[in-house]
Amino acid sequence: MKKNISKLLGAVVIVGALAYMFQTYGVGEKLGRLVVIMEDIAHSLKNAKHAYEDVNFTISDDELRDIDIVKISKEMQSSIDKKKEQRAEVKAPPQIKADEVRVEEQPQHNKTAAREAKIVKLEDLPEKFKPLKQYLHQPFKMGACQICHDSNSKNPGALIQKKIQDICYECHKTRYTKEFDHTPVKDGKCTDCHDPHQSNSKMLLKADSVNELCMKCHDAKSTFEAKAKKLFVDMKLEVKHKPIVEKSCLECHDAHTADHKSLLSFDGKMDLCLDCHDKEKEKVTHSKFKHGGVNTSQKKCLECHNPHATQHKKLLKKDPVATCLECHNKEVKSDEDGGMLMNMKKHFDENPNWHKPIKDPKKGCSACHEPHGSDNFSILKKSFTKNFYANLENKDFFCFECHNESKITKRVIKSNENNVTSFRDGEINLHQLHVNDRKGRSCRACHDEHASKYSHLIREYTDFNGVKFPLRFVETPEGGSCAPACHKEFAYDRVNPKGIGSK
Amino acid sequence: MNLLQIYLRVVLLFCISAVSLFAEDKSIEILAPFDKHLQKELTVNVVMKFDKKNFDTIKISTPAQMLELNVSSSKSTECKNVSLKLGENIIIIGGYKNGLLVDEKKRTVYVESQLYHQFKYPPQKFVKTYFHNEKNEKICAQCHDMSVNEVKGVAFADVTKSNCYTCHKSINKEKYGHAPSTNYLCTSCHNESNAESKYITKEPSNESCFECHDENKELWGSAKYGHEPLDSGNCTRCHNPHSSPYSMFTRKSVNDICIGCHKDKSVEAMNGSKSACNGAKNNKVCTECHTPHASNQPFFLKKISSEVKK
Repeated sequence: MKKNISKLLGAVVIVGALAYMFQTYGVGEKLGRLVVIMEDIAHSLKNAKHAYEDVNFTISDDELRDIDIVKISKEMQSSIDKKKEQRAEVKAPPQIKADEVRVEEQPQHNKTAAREAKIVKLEDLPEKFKPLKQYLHQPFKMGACQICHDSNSKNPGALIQKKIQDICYECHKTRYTKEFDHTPVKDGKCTDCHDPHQSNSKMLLKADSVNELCMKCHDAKSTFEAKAKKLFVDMKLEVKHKPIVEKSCLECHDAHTADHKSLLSFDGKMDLCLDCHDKEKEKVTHSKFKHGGVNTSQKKCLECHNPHATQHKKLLKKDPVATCLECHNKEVKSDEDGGMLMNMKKHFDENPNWHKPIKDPKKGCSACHEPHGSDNFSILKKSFTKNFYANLENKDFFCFECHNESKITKRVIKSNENNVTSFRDGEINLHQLHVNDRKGRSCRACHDEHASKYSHLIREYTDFNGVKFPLRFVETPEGGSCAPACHKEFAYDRVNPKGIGSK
Repeated sequence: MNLLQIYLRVVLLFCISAVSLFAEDKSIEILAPFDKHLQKELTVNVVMKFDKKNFDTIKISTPAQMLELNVSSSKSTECKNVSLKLGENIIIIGGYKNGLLVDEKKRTVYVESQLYHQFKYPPQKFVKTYFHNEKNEKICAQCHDMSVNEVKGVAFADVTKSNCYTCHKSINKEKYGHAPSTNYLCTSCHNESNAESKYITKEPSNESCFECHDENKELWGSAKYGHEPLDSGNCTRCHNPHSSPYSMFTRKSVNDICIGCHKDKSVEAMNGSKSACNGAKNNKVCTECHTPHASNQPFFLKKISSEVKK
């Protein structure tokens, strides 16, 4: 019994001691790092694009002369001591103005004799540490391992500082202290992205390109567990934002630190977008009628667009109509006149016959509306009239972009003519009858420009001074009849004319 | 004065109904119109209550119409619409059984018109009376839904579903109908109430008209000269707000309306005068040259006179 207790106590003590060792000497970290390095070397050996001989790793005498390793390490030691004192005094990171840190400082080494310095010849490096890649980290290139590694330690991989970022910041004096830091930067994990020795890409990245590196963590399928899933980006979708494809993620994002959320240099909801999208900037900022969806919404541009990749044209989150109906699925207050805009989703659901352009999957609502803002009411792309009465003759109205004006304003239609309106009583063009003169009616008096239950997009109700009057339209094979508020039931027939105004 | 009359009428009505409860009454009771009623419309609803055992035929005669009604249905109350003419109308309601007159009732109704001098000033004994108040409606409400069932801002798809339609369909029988009326959105204009009626209109009428015809208000308001009926706010003097056989719902044909006041411009008068109006001589429509509402030209001409004279 006693033996058992003493064994248990002994085990506890040993485990405790081991844990203490691990903690103080960072054994785990070092081992982990070694494994990572080994893996990487194995990977690069496997996929090496350059033959060993091709890589130019020899350093000229001049270069070597320029490096004073001893001095550098002394400087480092003194600065580390200073840091320790400083940290003891103030725990909060120093406040550096954004502009000051923007210019990345390139590490400069003193031009003093370095011959006596303890330089490791690259040829002498163990096989697994041989420089095989295109870009080499300057100290690694020089064989100045002791800038980072502790030469006195028995562990060959031991670093002179426990925290990697402390080593990096010694030379790379740029401090990333803007409002928003990239999480690896904040956590001091420089080597999560950068390889401290060598890489096939610029900036010593741990991937072949910037995008590839980013997607290591930010791909929806990656094992990276970000705090919020919204940090994932699915770049496999069909429609991709051009800058990402043609350049890189860094077109918009800063890899390290930024003044705005999502590591952006401008406000990502709108300002950043308008920095490139000049046409939209003009519309969004200067048009007479603005779209609340862009100008006053919470997410601005991102209400409708995905900045990375989607399945839909124009980087829309959903298909064009569905995108609009995200908000217009209820009555929405109009910024234009303070009135209420109708519930379009309900309207489209209830009325199966849609205006043709809306059905076009490429256009949707934007066939007629300019979603970024317009000088025409209801953010229409071209002018139209809001009035019930509007003489349509010789007017530059939007409808005539697609619909032939003469078809509507021509008074008499001869029987042998082709491409004529169906709304005729024998030879009399009933469209003309409705739209001519001072009390000519606008198209919208009878037609619903969005959707209707009836054919020819005939409205169920005409709105006249805030009162909805049913049109009571009935279609017959060769004509039809209407009994709106304007007149009693009048019928028309294309083949056997009924005479205007007849019942 | 009106209150007293109403009071008396109500008392009378009560007496009659009380009597009818106890005694076998062989008379026809006329619920509407009230005697010495004054109105503008050329039709009136006659509401009669009688014991159907006592009658087989009811004859209603007005100066404009004769109506014979067979009492065969189970109803003991009948509501019939009859036409009237301008001026004093004596409505005789006779109840017959086997060709013999059993009971006869008379009602005098005056139809006024502001367009004719002779019908402009009705005799003082005629007063505008109203039917739609709680007490009268109670009688009808035994069988009819007397509530307003229109939905504000949406017209009936089928107007026969309107509760008003049942009794007031005749006012929309003419060719040209005013939208709120033909769609039975009655309370668009009949939107005031007082002790006598629930559905009176605003006076003068223009206030109601301009609620919809607001663009005209601006157009005419800014003109230099305004026609008196418009200026005094009496749109309904010339226009019938319900329906009319004439376009623009005018109460008479355009020239008839004009000559109603401007007698000196009739064809007869013009032929004997040296006046410049060739249009009237040739019996043209006055509104070809004149605008009836407001104009910037003298004589309400549509264009300046030199152009018109051609």
